Amino acid sequence: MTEYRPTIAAVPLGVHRPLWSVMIPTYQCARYLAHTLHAVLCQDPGPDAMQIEVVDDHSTDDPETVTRDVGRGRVGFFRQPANVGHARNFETCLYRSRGHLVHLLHGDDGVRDAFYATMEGAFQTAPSIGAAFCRQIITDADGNWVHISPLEQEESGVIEGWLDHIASGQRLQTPAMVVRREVYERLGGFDRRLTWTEDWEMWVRIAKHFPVWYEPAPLALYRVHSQSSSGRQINTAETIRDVRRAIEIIRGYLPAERADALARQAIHATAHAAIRRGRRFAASGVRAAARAHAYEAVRTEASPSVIAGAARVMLATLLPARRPSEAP
Amino acid sequence: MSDNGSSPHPDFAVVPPVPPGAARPRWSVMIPTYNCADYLAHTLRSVLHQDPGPDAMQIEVVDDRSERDDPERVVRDVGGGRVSFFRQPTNVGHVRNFNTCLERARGRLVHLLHGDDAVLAGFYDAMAVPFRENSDIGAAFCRTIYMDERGHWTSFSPLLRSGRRVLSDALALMATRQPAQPPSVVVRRDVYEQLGGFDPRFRTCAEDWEMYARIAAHYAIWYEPAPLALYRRRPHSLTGRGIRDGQNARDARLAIETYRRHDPALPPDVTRQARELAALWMLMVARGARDARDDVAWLRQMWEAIRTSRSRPVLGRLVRESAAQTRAVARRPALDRPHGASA
Repeated sequence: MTEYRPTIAAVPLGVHRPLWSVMIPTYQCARYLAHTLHAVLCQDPGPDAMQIEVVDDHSTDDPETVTRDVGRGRVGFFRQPANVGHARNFETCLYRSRGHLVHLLHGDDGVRDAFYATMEGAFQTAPSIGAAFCRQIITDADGNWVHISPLEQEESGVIEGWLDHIASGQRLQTPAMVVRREVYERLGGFDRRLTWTEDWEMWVRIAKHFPVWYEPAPLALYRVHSQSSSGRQINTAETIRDVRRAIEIIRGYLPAERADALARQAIHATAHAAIRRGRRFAASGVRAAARAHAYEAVRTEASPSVIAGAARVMLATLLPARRPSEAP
Repeated sequence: MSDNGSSPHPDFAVVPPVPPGAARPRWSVMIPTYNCADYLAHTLRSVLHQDPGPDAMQIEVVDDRSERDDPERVVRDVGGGRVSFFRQPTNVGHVRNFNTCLERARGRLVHLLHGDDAVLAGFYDAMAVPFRENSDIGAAFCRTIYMDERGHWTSFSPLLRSGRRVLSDALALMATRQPAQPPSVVVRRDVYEQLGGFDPRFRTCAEDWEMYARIAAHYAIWYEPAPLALYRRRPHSLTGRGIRDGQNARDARLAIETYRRHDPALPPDVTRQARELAALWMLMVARGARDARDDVAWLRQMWEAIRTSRSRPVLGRLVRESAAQTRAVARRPALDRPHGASA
């Protein structure tokens, strides 16, 4: 364990250990929380088999009332004494989990029916896996389904070539992932140097040490809305700087002969993602954010295609906005 | 609303009312099949999971004399006596088979669910609501999940409106966007009795497009933004003779022509946009033909697209598609490369 990686201690002997820990970090998302809790409680196997706990990062919108009203005593609630940021709040979730399988389900995301039964089946079938994830549906603020994550593999099973694949770019959302607590105990918690890509770095770290299972059924729901912590950080392009930090950390996990090539792929993908985001900001008239993304794209990869793309974003910020809309 | 009880236009099949005295469930789930028995078990299970019982739902497979497989066996194995089976005495083509489905439906709400499509849990509950609440509604549709041959989801149909509601501009939407796929649509049976069934002049496609626009011209349409219907896209359904001889394009133009003729109130802007939509679809088919190296079909679809619409988006994509085809042909091994023109 390094100074950046919190140690996740084993659960003390004698403490009851359910199979599942569904840990629900929240911050200013109480209006979505009832929906999240319902989705879990619909498939609740009971307190002996599943811990369910909301871990709130000192919100001001009263998730405790929602937890009490919807959870009716079934759902635990912990409130941080002060706001610690979402990566640290994830860390608290890991500390407080007691189950063998940890599911970090953000308080504005969701799961579809049979998520827990299906993922449990994966760990039964392949006990050596460290983690399992399913396909994800991306929803808008109102919960309308808008996209589906790419199909990684046709059949459920241990995913082939996963380390290279996940190292070349973030491609999945946290609610899709279930990790054995023991894995966190061995590898440590989320890296404290990261504020936005801590999940990606963790998935790569796990891929380096354990087989990972893939379930092609889309059973997890990830909500994108402008109030989400990703929504807030996106505006300043801080996210792009954070991806670059993560790429440097991840480089160390890769076999030397492939590390450079994979890091280059990740850098390339990040620069182009920055340009796409900049273009959307420019189109919706959020000019400062558009320019911030153009700069960060070039800082990430100064290739001809990126420079040309960034220049187009800068030009677009000089034109009148085409459509007034929410940030992308 | 519906016109004064006159019979439908002669182009459209007649859907006679259910004889008096016959039991009338709320639902008729009519499942047309033709050589798709491999998928039928999935289709039937998706319905049977939410079966409210025979008093509330008729479930029937109507087979257009499949010759490659045996849907009757699937119906027996999966349906367990709950699902009835009707087999056409001869192959009649998909449009006439749809009309047989409508005739044989006894329920008040008809769901035409192709034997390779499916529904998600909650479809029938959600889609019954609008008809209970508002007697003006002639049809309701939800969003569609597209799936591939193996049943993996690929995308969702676009979100038209957030929130379930009556669509205020249903006719323009149905004509210019084609937002509804067959498994996502539920229609009151008496709407078919009033407006007629599908138009048998359509040979390959677009009969549904014409139907939804026809209904939208006469009745209120309800929109459910939850994607509860699964529509299977099969690559080979985009190839074959209908694509090479341009029948798909003639069908698309026939749809536009038909609803222009039957609805004089249709603004010219709507037909222009409908033509653009049809042409963009032909360019998509051309793209599929490029991938399948079917140069005859490719050229045909390009030609039909430009005949259908010359809007800026169409011309732009036409140019890009031509460039892509040129590159694709140049990359082929010399032996594969045809001499002279690609047609």
